[in-house]
Amino acid sequence: MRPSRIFRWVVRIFLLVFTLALSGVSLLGGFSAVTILDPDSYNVNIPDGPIIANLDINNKPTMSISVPFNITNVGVYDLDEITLSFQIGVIFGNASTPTNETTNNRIFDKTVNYGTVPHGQVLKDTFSGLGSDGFIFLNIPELAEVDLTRTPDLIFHANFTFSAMYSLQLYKFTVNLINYSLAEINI
Amino acid sequence: MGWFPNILKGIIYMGVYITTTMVVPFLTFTWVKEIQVLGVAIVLEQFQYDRIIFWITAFGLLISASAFFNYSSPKQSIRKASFALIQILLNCLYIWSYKFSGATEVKFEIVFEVTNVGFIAIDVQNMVMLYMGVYFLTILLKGYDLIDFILNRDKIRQKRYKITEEGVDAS
Repeated sequence: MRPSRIFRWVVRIFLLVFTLALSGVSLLGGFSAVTILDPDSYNVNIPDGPIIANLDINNKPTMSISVPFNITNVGVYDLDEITLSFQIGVIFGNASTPTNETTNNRIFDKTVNYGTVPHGQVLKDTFSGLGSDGFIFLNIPELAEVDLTRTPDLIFHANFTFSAMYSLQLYKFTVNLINYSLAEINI
Repeated sequence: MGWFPNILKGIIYMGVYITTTMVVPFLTFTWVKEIQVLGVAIVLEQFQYDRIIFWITAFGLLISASAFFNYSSPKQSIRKASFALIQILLNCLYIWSYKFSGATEVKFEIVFEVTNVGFIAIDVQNMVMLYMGVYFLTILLKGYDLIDFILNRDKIRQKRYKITEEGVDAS
């Protein structure tokens, strides 16, 4: 066999081993990610219990929200860069406009990175926001701005986003829930 | 090897590539297009599905055709090396098409009754980039083959004809 052929075979075997290893990691990761996200297994619970919220727009600095959650990593790889994002919007009749237009303002926006959950471990924590830590005071309507003839006066709704990287950071998955009804308040 | 076994080998490999680059991805994306989890429909957006299928079919056809010419060519021939290089370049474009068709970041809408209540997105862009790295090494290898076959053309031909003559003598 010519020496150039021998060199070729060495490179080819390296490529084959590398590709097989990569395919193995991909398949194992995909299968493992499915076991984590399987809705029957309740490995990702957001929220994991009642959401406690103080949405009193008359006292903005004391406005707060806490969302308990737990994430169980039953897969074979670590769950990296776990990020939880939470937004709250409020819908109200805007009395400062000529026709009391229905207005939707985002009053809370916060993203927290929870780092890594090693395989077999559980992350149990509470996502929380208080006052200026998450709440956007500029977007929170003043009482005088709210059309009080409507029922309900204020409708609060939330968006959740959970994202994480998996399988040696080869996969990224994101779960997003929108327009989760949080509260309806009559002032 | 005579012309008939070479053609047969080309047809077999073309079939293999049609299956792996077109049929399997088509069936997979069609299967995940509309699945239900606990009664909640998880829907792959139609325009995204159409775009993915279009690019898979376009590059799948080209790869399958070049696979036929690659595998039906005589061993260590310049023709084989040229088609192998073309095939690997098309493979790169095929893998890359997963990225620009949106297949590396597939977004499934979660529909409860008739209301869209969110989405699940799976992003495998990093994995595709890693596979592109493997393909880059393969391109180097195929380029090396082509140069090797051109430089050692006489040696390869002598060896090939010697084997053929010996084969004829033996028979």
